[in-house]
Amino acid sequence: MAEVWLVLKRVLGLDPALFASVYTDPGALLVPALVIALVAAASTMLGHVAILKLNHIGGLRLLSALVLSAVVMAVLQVVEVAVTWVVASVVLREPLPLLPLLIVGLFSTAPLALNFLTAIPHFGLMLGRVWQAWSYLIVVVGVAHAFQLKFWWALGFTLAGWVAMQLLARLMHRPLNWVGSRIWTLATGRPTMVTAQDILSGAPIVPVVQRTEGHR
Amino acid sequence: MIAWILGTLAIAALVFVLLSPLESLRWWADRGEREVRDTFELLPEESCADTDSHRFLVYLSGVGVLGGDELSGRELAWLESVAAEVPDVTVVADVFPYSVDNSGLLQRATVWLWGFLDRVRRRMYSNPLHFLINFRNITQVLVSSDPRYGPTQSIGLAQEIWHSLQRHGYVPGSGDPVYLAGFSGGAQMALGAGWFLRGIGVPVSLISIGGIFGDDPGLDRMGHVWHLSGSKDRMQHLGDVVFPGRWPTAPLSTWGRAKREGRVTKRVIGPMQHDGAKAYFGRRSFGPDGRNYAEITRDAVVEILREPAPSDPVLPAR
Repeated sequence: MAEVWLVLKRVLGLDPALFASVYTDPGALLVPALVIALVAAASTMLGHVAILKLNHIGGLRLLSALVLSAVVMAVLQVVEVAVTWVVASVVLREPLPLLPLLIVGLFSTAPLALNFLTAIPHFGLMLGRVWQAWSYLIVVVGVAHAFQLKFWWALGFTLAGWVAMQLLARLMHRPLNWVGSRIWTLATGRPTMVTAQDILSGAPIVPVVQRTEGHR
Repeated sequence: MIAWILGTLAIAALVFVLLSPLESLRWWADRGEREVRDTFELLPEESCADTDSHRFLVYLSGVGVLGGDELSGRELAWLESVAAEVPDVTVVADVFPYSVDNSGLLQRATVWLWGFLDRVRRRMYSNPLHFLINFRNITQVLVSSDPRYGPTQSIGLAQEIWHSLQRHGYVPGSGDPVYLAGFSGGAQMALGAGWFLRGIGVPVSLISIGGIFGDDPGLDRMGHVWHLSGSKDRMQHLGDVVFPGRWPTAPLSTWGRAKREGRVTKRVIGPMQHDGAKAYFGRRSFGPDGRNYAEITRDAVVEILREPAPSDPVLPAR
């Protein structure tokens, strides 16, 4: 655990020596990287406790939702890294080693270990954006150092990965929503998610005019 | 040792802030959703006063208040003076804005803590300990302004305001205008609740008295927003700073939209500070024309109440 803590601190500090060792000895950093990602996923779920509360989710269902969130986060991270890998390999005309890139991707979740702080009312949302920016910076710096690329190349490759993810999210909007909803229902036992925005839309409110008829 | 104490206090404050949304979330999970489904219940006729008023002023106090029935002497005197000036307006001032179910801090299991802090405030004002009351209520202002938690908080408050309006004679469906007068953080709470009140057909406007508020969605449903401030009140600028939706860089926010549509009026009414004897309800501090601060504030509010009621805003397409 002490080793994971040390690696976490070095990742957050964008330590170039650490990212260089990702390329030379990726196997040694795989376990700490996975633990960091797990901590980040758990912390993210703690930050989202409001949504779960709104949906009356507790006990085993809460645990299922936590695991589900961790899996989704890992899948998204792997897809983004894979896209970055494809783009970089095509542009450089030689396949980059995948494992170091995967570890950089897992490392980039390090700032999200503080995601529980996003539960802070109002300021939490701003903190969430800061963590995301920090996370992206880790990917860029990590890719640059791990593969000894210039900063702008690393930025270009990672940006391509990010853009691809955004496009994918928009193009696959409907099927992803359907799958997400099915998985959510399986994990939590609730057919739909009620968010604060749903409440704001006024959907559950019965108009007074209807209810007042015959009352007074 | 000092660092240890400060660190402990900081962690305690962080935990307190982190837990602050739980009150409204627990309420929503336990009974709020059910109540709202039956909602905005109508009170039995015997609980409602008869009134000839067709205008209502709902006063929501600042973050120093302990409960709906715990207004300061200055506030009570000021509200009486407003009611005397505009007898055709019904003044409602029994809602605790920083709670989803109108339970004041002295009506809870932690009454011993809030009662103690209140006694400290009365006897040793210089002791900063009593600011824990303000801190607690400020966290609820932050909850209200957060799009994730705000709606659950605001729907509870709106329901309490709705009940109180009916107790004071408001006839549901009448379309009588309601002015939400929010002092300090009460302005943000008013905006949050205003969204839901307008949703059930109550025309609402906001009179902010040194109000601190964000770019709440409720702004879209306010007929008009009057922001009254004192030239020496620096606290009221917090809203301009802390809420990015109020920055000039956010012209598309609800605040930017309200300003663009001419639904915001800002008035500096005198040299008031934010809180205390030299603030908006002070009776021993006087403006250049000889009126005391409470009278200046009263006259500004009465002038608004005597204007024709604002028309409904055009809701943005969603």
